[in-house]
Amino acid sequence: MPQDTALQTQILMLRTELDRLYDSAALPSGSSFRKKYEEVAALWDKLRSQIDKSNRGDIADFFDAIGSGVIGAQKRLDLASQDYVLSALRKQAAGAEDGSTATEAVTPNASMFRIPRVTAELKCSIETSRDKKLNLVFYSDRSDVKELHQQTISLEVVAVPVPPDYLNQLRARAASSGTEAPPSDAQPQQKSDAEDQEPGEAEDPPSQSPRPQIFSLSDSAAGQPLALSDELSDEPSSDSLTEAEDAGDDDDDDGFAAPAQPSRQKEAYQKTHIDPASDSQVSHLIPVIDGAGRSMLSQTLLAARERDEVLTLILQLCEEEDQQKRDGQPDKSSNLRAVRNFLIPAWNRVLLFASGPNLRFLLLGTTDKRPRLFLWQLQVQPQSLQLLYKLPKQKAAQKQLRRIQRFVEELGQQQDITVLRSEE
Amino acid sequence: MTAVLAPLEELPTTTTALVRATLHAQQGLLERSTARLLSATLSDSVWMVRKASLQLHFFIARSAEQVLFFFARRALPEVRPLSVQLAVTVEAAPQPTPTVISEATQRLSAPPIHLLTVPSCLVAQPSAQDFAQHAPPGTTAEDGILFRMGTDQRSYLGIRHPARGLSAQLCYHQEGQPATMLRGFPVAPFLDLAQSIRGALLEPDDASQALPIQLPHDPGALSDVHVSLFWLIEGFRLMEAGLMESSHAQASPFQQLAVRYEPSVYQAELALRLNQQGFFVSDPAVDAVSLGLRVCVLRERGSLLVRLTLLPPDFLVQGLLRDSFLQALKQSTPLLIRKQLGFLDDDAWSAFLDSAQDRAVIFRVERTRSADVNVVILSTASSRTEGSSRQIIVRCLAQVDAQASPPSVKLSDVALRYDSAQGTSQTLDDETARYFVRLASAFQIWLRVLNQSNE
Repeated sequence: MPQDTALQTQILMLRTELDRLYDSAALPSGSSFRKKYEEVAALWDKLRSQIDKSNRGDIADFFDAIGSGVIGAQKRLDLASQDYVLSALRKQAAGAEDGSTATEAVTPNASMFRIPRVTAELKCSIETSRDKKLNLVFYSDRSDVKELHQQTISLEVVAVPVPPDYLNQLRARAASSGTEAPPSDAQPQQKSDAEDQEPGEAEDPPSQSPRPQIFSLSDSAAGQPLALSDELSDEPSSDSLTEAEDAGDDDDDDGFAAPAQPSRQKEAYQKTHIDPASDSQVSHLIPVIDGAGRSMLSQTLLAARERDEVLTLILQLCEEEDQQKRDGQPDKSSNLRAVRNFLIPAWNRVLLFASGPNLRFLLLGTTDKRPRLFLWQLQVQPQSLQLLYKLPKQKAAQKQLRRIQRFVEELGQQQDITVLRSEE
Repeated sequence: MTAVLAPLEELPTTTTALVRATLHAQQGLLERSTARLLSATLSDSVWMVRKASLQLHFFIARSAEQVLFFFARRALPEVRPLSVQLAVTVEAAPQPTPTVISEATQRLSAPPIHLLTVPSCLVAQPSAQDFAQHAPPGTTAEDGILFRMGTDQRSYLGIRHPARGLSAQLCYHQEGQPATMLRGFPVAPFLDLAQSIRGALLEPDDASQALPIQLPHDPGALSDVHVSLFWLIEGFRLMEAGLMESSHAQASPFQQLAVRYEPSVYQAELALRLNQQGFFVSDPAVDAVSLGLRVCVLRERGSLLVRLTLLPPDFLVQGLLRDSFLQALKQSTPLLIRKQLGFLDDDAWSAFLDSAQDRAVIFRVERTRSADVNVVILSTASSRTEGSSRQIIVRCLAQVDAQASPPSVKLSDVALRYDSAQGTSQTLDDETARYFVRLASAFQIWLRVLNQSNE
């Protein structure tokens, strides 16, 4: 049975008190009758004001509602625009693969859309309340419209460009204060290269966020906590994995307890310096690596045959795990879930490094569904596969590191292609 | 009588509430926009309130038992002449320099400058020489009024004792000819006056005609008009003060996006009935003068300006209502009258009304319980094809529904009062003549009331 509304409760109380007033009315001059009468009168006033209030609204509420509506509408438009741009780009990509002319498939002016201006007008009656608020009286029926004076309130809201440096200041302030950006309605997994080539975003300074900075992007990153190490223990402790996974779950953890940085590997990685200035530079990075970085990478990047061997090893590990499950043994290698879900399906995008004869590192960046970044360590003898790092599930961090993810992804693909060609 | 104005005292509360709501909305928009800036991938703009407007229509009168302000539960025709239509707009403005802000803050409390603009056909401050030249002998500013008419403004109509109605003394003077004391109300000068008023209403306010006036400082000398003006101006000042206060207390996270707001439109049109002393009269049985007053408050070069414009009441020179009137006249004029006018043929009548449409003037001379008594002046210009000009005056009863879109007008009892084709030596009928002297009296009283502290 549905519960009474506040109004019904109020009326019920009034009815009860009226009954009591009726009982005491036998002696109208008595103090109990007067007292009860005042109680009933107070209840009646309360009920009346409650009903009156339901037909009124503060003008500020109306203005607020317009503002909320505009922002909400723009957010939805943002998503629709993203879909539109993405679909245009997909068509373009498909057209290019088919050998057709890309421009035939793409809308030349594919762009984000913005609501430039909204004007809202409300016809209503107005009253000034005692608390100095301007209240709107909404017409409840047609006859009210004729009886009441129609007042008009209007509000015009416009989109105004943000000063160029304001956005950067805002983000820096948000990062330094450690506050997480409000959740976005945008879908990060739908972000395309084209969207990320927004000039304003490309010029964003490196984030000052205290979150784990796994990869050093500049020579000044000596203090960074990672990671690709010869000196890394051949048998990483289970603690290190635990900490790595914890780091992935802890938004505020800036002390990711990775092993001390190895000088040689670090140097090698730093040579593959990524300029975060623009995604358009990503495609130029590959030749750079092929040239200047070849000597170093050639020592560590695995050839196609070795890639196959690594894949075989991983598949064997998965098979063993499956067998253990079938045998009813407790599942001890839950970290293979990521291997099954991400590593194997995206094998041709995995970047493989050798660190000595017994150690392999597998780096996978993927932007499918949502941006992910994984680093596994594979030990050949005895066989083990450990997940050293995965990018925390934080939208802000994912946004900041999206270029790296894509870079790693392309690097992996490039390696796969390069080694295949060299094999041929 | 001040109690009558109690509803107006709430006006500053209303205008400041608009300001607060606007600033609140702006703050909310900035907060939400900034959140989106941080969260959305592509966002280079924020939303801001550009302007917020309020159009109020309210009565400033009360009956014996109820105060009527923003709404009236019952139609009370007796308070119709005491109403205000106020348009207020708060709009984003460029940021001024600190010096300008400092000066503006200092000037906030400075007294306003009142400028009275009258229709260009009305001589606002006639000198004794003007009266001696163009008005009945002995006319002074106390008992007379002077109109300047014609396209070249070289004709004058001086009226002495307009409050006496049809007994008022009239003098018509065309420059270059001797002044003539009028007996009765010959049509020509008043047709000229009607067209001059029409021209004055259609023209924008002539700033050169503005007459500086001062409100009385003595509270005992304040009329209802003065008190109304005070509260209207107070509504503007408190808006400004609220906006100034908010600009000082701008929240720091949005300092860089801070927008300054200022009142860009603040204009009220008052329809009022006054007695001789400038106090409101809501009782239709009491003799009073009706006149419109447009009040425009603005800040110009740091000074608070109050522009007051006197307007003849119920005087239609353009607009949908006037078009509806003429359309109704096209259909409702009895054949007998059209026969008198020589327009039995529908097309000829329509053609005449069409040619008279531009210069047609309609004014209400009386109001009954069920209908308005209106006078329509139809005037065609002389042309080579249609010959000399022709003026016709028609009187009719009209039931008007101004709320309909377009306004609906039903005419009845249409009667012909003047046709220039019958000769120019005719006189105005009493009803129409009474309207004109009452209008002259209204102008005279309003000028005296508004300008009394200058005297």
